[in-house]
Amino acid sequence: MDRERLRTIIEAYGAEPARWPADERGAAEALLARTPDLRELQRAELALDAALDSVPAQAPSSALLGAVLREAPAAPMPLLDRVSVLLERWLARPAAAMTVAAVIAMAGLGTGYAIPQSAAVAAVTDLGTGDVNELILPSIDLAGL
Amino acid sequence: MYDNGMRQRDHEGDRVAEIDARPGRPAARPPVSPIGGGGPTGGDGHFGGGDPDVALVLAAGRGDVAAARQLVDRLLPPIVAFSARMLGDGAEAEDVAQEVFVKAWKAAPCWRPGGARFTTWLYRVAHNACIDRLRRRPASLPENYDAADERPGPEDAIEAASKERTVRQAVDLLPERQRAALALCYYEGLSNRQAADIMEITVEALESLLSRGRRALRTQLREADNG
Repeated sequence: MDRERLRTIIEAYGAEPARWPADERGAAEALLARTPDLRELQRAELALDAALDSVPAQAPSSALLGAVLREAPAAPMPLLDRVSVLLERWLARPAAAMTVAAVIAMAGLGTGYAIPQSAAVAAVTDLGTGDVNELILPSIDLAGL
Repeated sequence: MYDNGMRQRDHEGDRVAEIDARPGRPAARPPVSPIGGGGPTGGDGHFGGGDPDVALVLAAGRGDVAAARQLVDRLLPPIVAFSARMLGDGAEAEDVAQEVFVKAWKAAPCWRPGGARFTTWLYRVAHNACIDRLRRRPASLPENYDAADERPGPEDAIEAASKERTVRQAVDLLPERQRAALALCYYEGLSNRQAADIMEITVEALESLLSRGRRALRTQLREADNG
């Protein structure tokens, strides 16, 4: 630590030794104690420090505090909840509702076509064994058996 | 608002510096910042490994509300205060602080320990955002700048408000880099190394900015007293 360095420290960091770089503070204070002209410089800087301290720091508003917290990352949802939310959002869209209606209509049509076939199968199964033979066997020549 | 890798024009030194704001302390007395490090000591280990905020940042990134709350309670006030000193405008300072935290929340889930300390990174993002706004601003003081200081009151209060206004205006008239150095070191109580790291300059360059800033302030305040 020499005079020049001490002067630099006072001019840059101000009068308060607590603000000086910690690794140089002890040596700087020791040198200052035996250097009257630099103590004069320190007093001049003390006045500037007092002026700077007259301007208070701005604190955040509660609105800002709330907004910043609302924007913080949310915890990930369980898979089932995520699927459920995605499905709800999707169903809320008009295009999605129309798609669902179309699918239901198509399923209805398909079912309609399926009924006659099913009825036919049911009719066959309702027949007795003899009736089935009558339906199938006439085309077979039993005489040769 | 600058983003990662944004180029910053350094007016005073006429250099262009690459700002790499990778996801990777308030007030004057006592000068030890509440947001990490050991005050203006020059040896607070503000790089990576010793970052006390890593666990909180990662927890906040996973959606831990209590962790986010702790970070906000501790770090929002100094970021607002720093931005206000840089911009001289409270509303704009809040906008900057909100932008800074939006970026912080985006970075939090994949925060990498080992880069810049979280607080250093926050200040750097705020510093860059303020510089960006200052350079887009017409060269004049903000509107209604003095409005709050013109309230009638007892003589002492008027005198104090007048003094505060004079000092505030003198600080606002400093070149932006001198103002940033003063705000980080003097008002925020950061170590010289952390302030230099935020501004991406050497400690010697920081001390030069501080000395020139304080000299300019003394001159302006003396002129204000005489005028």
